Amino acid sequence: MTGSGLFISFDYTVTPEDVTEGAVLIATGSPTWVATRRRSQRVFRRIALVMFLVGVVGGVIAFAGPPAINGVPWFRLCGIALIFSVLAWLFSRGLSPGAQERAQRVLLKGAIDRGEMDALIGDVVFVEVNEAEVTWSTSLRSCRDSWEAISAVLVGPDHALLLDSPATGVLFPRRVFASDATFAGFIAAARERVDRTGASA
Amino acid sequence: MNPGEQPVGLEVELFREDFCAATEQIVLNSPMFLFIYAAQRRQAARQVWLIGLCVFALGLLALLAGAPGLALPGLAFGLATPLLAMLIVQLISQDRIARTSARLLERAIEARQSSWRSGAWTFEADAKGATWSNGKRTVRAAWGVVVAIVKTPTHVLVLDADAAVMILPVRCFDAPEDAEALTHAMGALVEVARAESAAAA
Repeated sequence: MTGSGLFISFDYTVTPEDVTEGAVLIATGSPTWVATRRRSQRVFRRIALVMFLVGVVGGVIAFAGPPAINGVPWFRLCGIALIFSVLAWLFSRGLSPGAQERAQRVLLKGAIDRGEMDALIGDVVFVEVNEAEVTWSTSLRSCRDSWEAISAVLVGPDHALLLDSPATGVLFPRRVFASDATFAGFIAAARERVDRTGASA
Repeated sequence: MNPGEQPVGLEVELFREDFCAATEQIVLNSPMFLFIYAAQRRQAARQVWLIGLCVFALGLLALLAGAPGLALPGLAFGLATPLLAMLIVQLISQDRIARTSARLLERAIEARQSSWRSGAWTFEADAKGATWSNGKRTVRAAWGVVVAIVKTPTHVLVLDADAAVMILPVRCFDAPEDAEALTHAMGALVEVARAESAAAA
């Protein structure tokens, strides 16, 4: 790797970890994906709440309701509503960022083990960043993004990712940087650059 | 229009509707999305089966304990689980996900949460690959990394392995037959590139 701050260039060979961490960063950090997940989570939470309330009201009526409406199977109604409430709550839990991250790792591990990611793994990627744009290229593909095309800087434990569309981005593994300080310096500079572009847009 | 014989260049004006149409096709055709959603469907169906099994077991316990009033709903719910799992799989069918994704993208573009911007794009294709640019973002893909060329009544879409997409509305062609001819020519180039990479492997 050469350079510092925003002016850097390097190349690296894509490893299975890079593929997995890149996908995890997008699934848990891409604004479009996060908005989609939150919306689904809200729907399931509402269903869980409504079913829980139906269950509780059914239970109260079953125990203390007036005899005139006791012909209704309130206990059964209460039980079924509570089961659906738990079901909806479980689904909403399955959409939490942590659950999504775990699910993504399992999915990617399966795909890598089955050889479905062989086209990406082992590829050599050349990355070049400067004040005006971010460029990356492999033998078959290349992409040049101006900073205006970068919508977010996503950071994981060992990777950073500049998001250039809802589901793609440029990956920066920590290992290619000379030190943790250089990695942190690049992330800070990139965030500042994206914030500045967003503010002027 | 055959990029294999002579480079093709197109000026394209894209609107929000074009991106939404493209999103539907990405979800329906991109191997990455097919793989992710198929895995999520399997996971959801598995969860429902598991919950159904637990409820069925509880119902069975209640029956053995001599409480048929409690046992019957549990047994019924457990037996109905396969139906529920099928319903859930149906609810998250690829078509439905594609339509939802397009609707969400439309909202994301409205809220400026998505980096996909309408406006002028250029498309260039030659014997080796295609280039797609709006000045801020330039993507070059060799035919070997193109996973699908999709022709709908209104669009021609070039999808690559990273789920990046080049969107060519039919209205941008001089005649609809030109769009058809370009689709076939690009399809042939992709086949040749695949055959070459298979031979090299």
